[in-house]
Amino acid sequence: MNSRSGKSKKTKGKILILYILVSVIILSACQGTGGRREIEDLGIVTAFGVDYIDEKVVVTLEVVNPLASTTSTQASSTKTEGQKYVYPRGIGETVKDAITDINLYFDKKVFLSHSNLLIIGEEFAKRGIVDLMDFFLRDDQPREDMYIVVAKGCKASDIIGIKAGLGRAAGTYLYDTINNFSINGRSINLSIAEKYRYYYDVANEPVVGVVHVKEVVRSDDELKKEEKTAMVLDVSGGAVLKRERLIGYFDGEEMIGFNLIVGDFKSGIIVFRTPVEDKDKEKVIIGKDGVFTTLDIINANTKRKISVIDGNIHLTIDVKLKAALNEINQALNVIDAEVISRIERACSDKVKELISKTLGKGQKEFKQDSFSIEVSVHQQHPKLWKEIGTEWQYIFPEISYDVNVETTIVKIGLINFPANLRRK
Amino acid sequence: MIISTFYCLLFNIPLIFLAMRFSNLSIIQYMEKIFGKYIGKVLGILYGLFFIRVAIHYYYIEIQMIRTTFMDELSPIIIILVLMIVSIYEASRGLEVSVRTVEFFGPIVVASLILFIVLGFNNIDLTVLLPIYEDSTLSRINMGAIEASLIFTDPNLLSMTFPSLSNKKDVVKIVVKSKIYSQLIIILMVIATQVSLGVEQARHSNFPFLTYVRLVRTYSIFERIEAAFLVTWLIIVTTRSVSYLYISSKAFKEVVNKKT
Repeated sequence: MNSRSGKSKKTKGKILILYILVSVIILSACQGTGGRREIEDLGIVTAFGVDYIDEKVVVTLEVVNPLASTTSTQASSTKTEGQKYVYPRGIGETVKDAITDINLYFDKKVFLSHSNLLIIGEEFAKRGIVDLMDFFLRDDQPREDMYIVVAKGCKASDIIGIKAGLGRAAGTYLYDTINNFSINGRSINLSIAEKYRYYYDVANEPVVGVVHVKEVVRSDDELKKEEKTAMVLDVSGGAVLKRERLIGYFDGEEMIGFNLIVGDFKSGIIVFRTPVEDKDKEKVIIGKDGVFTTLDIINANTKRKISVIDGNIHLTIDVKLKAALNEINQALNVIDAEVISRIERACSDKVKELISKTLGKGQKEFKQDSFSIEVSVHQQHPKLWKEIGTEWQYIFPEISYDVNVETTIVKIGLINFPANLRRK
Repeated sequence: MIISTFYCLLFNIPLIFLAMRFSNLSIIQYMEKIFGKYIGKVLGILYGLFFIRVAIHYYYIEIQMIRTTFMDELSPIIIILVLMIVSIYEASRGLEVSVRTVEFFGPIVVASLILFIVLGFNNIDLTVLLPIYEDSTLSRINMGAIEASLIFTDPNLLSMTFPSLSNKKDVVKIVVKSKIYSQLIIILMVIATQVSLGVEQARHSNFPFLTYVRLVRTYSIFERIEAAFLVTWLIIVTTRSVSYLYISSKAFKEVVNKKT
């Protein structure tokens, strides 16, 4: 009995020693080759810009300086030491080569996992971005949900570094501004993953986000003394790509039409001329009479139907909008159902105009399907698609379409009478 | 994937039939009875080698996954050591330990996978689903289904461990149920991945579901949760490789008539 328990103790002791030995070997090996990343050794990138200059890839990064907050309180020995963000730039034959070039003079190891933005210079976008994208899909550091934006009329390096708003870094500021897409509908926030979701469609020609520099008058008294204007970043519009090359832009208004066509319009405002039929019917107006009405779109639902009429493809876009009356500057009695119905019709007409303008531009100017209408044809007429799929880009500019918009005002706000009306 | 359920069950009918016919013998033992001593032993060796090869393949994928996505500078020898020590120890403790491990981790794994699928809902775009029955042919769909059905190797494990089962009567019901449940989860994962990444991009991705999880950014709370997915995935793959190691070693033991 005693010898058996002694034997089991010995075995347990052996297992324990073996366990400790293995653990020590593994942990000591981890110290050297574990690939650990200490925050003080990393250059955390918050925005990634790419340009193409003299046939070389030029990468400009916005890198957080984690030591800035501590050094700013002390005397900084160099100018960059006190800066919260630094903007290293590298040149190379490929994207990775340009990043490696940065690390030849930049002491921190570039870390891309926190970058939410990929800004592409206009010249580079015109040249074509397809060869650049492989790195962003293959490497594990860049995130697939990084937004792609084209720097309209400038280089990516001109965009990186511009700070405005309350966002701390230019990358954060621009990222938050692009995320406002859900409340304005005048831009597009397309990520790398979303771009590649549709990339392999036969006739897919995507529209990606845009950013351009805008000069605005400063309203801050203190800062106004130093400089009267400030540079801000505007994200309205969309960049149209053809075979991965930039061929033009949609402006902010056209992007409302675009987002409605593709069914991505989440919410936003529609401004239109107020119908004048009922204007001051009861002669009750006091004050200046405005001409515009603003509806806040709460919900938008788009359906696209494809029909074949006499061998020609016909597209019907049905849009249903639910809206809140946000602002009305004309003397109209908005609790009158007839008046509300006219406002709804006027909004529908405006939306119809926006959609037709955008679709028309796609057909006549760009001569390509940037709206994924081909997916609707494929889904609704698969047999026909088999025949015409490869010819779609020649067929799309010729297709006929009609747009039906139905607006329903579901809220009229906190007051039931316009502010510039007074009852006699 | 739906059609593959049928093929999978069809392909496994012979294995289940033989297992029930020779209910007190493992596949190695009844192969000796069917094919004779020498051919039976050769088949037994091949059986053991096949599962060793599958286990090695699983370790290779684990190392690839860990080194490509998370610890890209970590030496492979460390990963191999950790995984092998854990797996060999668990496999050496017998069938009950492996099965209890699965019983413990199973609900956690299933719940985690469903949670990952749900959290990625805002990346889903159903318009990427195209009419496959129109675009493809019946024979191509069936070929794809047959290919997908080969992933399900559990009846092979069962045919080795059949003598140890206490409830042998309900084995058909259990196999059908397990296939349907696992297939449901796989279908959910495949659909979620394809409508999120796009059908073609999902095909080009080495780890499509990992990419799906990397895209999760829900309410600014659930984001960058791929480390949690890696843990779940490692549990799944390690338990699988443990079972392959176990049946492989059992196969070799039975070939050389070594008693445990």
